[in-house]
Amino acid sequence: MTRDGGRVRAREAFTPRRLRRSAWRRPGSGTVTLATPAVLIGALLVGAPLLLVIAYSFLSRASGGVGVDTPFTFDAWRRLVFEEDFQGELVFAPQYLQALWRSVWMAALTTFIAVVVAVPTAVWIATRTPRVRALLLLAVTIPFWTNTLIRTYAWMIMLNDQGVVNNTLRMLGLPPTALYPSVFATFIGLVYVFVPFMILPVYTSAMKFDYRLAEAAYDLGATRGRVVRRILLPSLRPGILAGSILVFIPCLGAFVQPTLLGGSKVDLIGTIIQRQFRDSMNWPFGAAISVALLCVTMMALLVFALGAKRLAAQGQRASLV
Amino acid sequence: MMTTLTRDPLSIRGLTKEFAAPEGATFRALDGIDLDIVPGEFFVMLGPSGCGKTTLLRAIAGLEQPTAGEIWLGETRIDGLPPYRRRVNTVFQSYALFPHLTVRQNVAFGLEMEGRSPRSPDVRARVDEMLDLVRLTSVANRKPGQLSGGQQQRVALARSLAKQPEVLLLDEPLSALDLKLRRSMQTELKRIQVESGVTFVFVTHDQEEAMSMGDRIAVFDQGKIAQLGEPRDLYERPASRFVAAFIGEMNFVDAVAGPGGIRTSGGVSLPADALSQDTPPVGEHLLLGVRPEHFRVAADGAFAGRLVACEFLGADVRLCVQVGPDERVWARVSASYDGPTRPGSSISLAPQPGRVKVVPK
Amino acid sequence: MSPRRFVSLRSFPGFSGVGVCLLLFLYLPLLVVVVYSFNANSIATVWTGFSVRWFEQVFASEPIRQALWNSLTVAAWSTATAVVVAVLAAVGFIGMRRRSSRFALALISAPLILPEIVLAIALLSLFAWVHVPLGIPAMILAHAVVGLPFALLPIHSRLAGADWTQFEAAADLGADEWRIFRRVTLPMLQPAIVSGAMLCFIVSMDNFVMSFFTSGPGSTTLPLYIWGALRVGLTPEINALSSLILIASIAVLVASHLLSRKKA
Repeated sequence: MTRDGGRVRAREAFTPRRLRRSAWRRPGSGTVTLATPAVLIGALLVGAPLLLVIAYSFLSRASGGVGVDTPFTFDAWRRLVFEEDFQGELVFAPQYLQALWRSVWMAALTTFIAVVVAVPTAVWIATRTPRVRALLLLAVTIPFWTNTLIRTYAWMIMLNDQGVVNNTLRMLGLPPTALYPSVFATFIGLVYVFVPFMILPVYTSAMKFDYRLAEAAYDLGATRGRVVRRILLPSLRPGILAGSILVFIPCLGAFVQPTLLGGSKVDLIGTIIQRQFRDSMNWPFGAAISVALLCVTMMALLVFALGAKRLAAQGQRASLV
Repeated sequence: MMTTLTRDPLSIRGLTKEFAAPEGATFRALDGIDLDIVPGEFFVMLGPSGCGKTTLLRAIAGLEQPTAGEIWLGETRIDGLPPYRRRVNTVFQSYALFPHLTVRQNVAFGLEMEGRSPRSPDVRARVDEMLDLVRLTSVANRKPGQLSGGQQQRVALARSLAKQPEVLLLDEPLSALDLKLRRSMQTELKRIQVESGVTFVFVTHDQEEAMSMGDRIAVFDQGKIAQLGEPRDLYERPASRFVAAFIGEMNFVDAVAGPGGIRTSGGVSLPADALSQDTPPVGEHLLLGVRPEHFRVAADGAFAGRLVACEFLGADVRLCVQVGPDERVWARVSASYDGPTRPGSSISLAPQPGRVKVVPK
Repeated sequence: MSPRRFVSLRSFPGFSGVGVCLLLFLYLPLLVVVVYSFNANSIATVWTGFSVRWFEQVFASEPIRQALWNSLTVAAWSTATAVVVAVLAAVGFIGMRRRSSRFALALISAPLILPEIVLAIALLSLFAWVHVPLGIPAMILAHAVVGLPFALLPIHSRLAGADWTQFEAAADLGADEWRIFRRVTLPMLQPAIVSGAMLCFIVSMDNFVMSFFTSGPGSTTLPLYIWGALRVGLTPEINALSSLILIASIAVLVASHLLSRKKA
């Protein structure tokens, strides 16, 4: 083949080596730089602020209340656990740790109730015919997307002294009780708001369940209860695990429900943090508590990851998405 | 009317493609391929899965980057160009039609990419010409989802041909179709190729398809070309055991060249003139190949033994004869066969003179 | 899947009972809110008669109208930002190595698994440090951060699961990167973009926690308005406003469900 002329020499420049330097991309993909805005948002608006909060917890309260000031100190952390008594001595003050503990067990109880309620519901929906299933799913999803504030407010109306529940009690001749503000009302609010978060993941697992396994068990003489316990529930574990995280973590940091339905009787981590940043204006202390909350969150996520890993080893995939 | 341009030959020089395998090793899909494709020919690349033929096709199209080597289209070196700058178009195995565009818009897509408006008269004329060529004018305004597999395939063909490429690459386009449809599409494709004069490079794993359509065939084996030639050459003079076994059916027999003729390991004696080529030197070990259709049943045939199986296939009858303790041959005779059919009967086969090939190992 | 499966398993003991009770539990309070908003009485919880005056009051209220406007503005801008960023990111992720893209995806999805109050005060701290004034722009950023995962996950999963030969075919036919994006990628992503945008929009309209910590003077959104009113006490106006929002949300959700069913 004769090679001559400027045209060929110009094309010669496209050697494979030169092409590798100019990035060859699969058709349809874009340069990696396109992802920078998203990564920037993640880094600058999520990652950096969290680091900032950790830093803030080691700083002092600013004079105006808003923000922080330089002297580095452990004051904020100390305040979590200690307080000064009249002699100026440091005494162990359990109130904040108690609040943290209270938040944890309330979130755990809410999660537990959510599991108990959501699992039968999800299985019930999954065993309907496709048309009914779609309708029921829509019915369950609608509250999920409705304004949380309004849904919490609805219980304020229900549990009011003149509210629906008390009116019903009156009609039945029973004495009306002060249902809210109270711990009980906060619970109802939390369960009400967060149960839909549990239904969808469990439903996904229920849909993946091979009902022929249950049929085989029935065939072998198992009772309904046994089938549920030994065959159905284990297969729902991935959904339950994912749903638990989706309920537990938001519950930990909730402050709308405790404030509206619990009033001053319920002090949870969320309300405390909120106070430090809006009312008491003690940002370092608020930051310290937030970091504590983050630690509990991380522990919960760790438990989830370990659980998911164990399930994966047994062949079941659990994911949050 | 299709304008016949003087087309450029496609040349491939020393093309190598390596992939990174999971354990850190590299897998060589193509190993130093040299190939010259004649303009205007229907060129077939044939081979089993994993032999590299699709990788080579994609490298020509620009969808894979070769590790080494060159691809020339006429005087222009194209292996450094992105796919949208090569005058080469591809018909994909999955058709890859754009689901949100109609058939007409799909076919016009390539022309749009050249900067021409789809509404201009010459683009419309060309789209009509293409749809007419593949006989799909009636469905021009439907979307791909409303078409059958065969129709989608023809749209893909029309879409690629609309750009009047130098070379059209076809990646196993008929493999998803059922047998009857495939046969009729083979004829269609051949007709379209001849009418348009475009060089077709056709990849398939079906040797019957390759033989019926190709002007020349390159048989690929593990990243290398095992043999390149016209269908008849490949059939009658296979260059290796691999090619002999891959194309058509072949009986393989080990033998030794003796002073009086050839003697197989099963004890069959063949005269020297049974071979398709000159007598090999005495003492040489040979691999003989005889195609089943080159046997006939004869009372004094060299391959004598017991009938093991007799299969009636409609147009042919297949016979399996056990000649020696380890030697078994298959013969294919016409349906008018009236010899022994019961397993266990004695039977003897004679190869047609000059039809016993010596297969290079 | 034979019908037999339903017959033998439909009657799990008590499951349907729990399901029905749960549905009632979920909807009863909402029903009460809507019913009580027609209460003629100015004490929200004592029923005296039927009236629509509170709705009239809501429609006439200037602060509510302003809050609605603010909510819509913040939702529109944050959704637009999130969707654009998400589309670019999805395309960019394809070119990255699997490990990098998974890490980036996890980072961007972090708001989904962290307590919102922590995210909110973290952003507040950032804005204070960088002296970004609180108000509508700050809220738009905050909502974009929370909404981005809702947009990115459906779009990314649609693109990652796409039939790649479409892009190869387009390139083969002469389309360069930009043209492939406009003519093949975007049409392919369109349903995911629409559903991602809807999710983002709804999340933003309903968002309270982020708004609460990043709002400034004059940037009250609907949820913030309701909160402010609730701190004072239960008023029938809030009842009416809540009913309107509830009905609007349910209507939008049902409509989008019907639309997506029609497309399928």
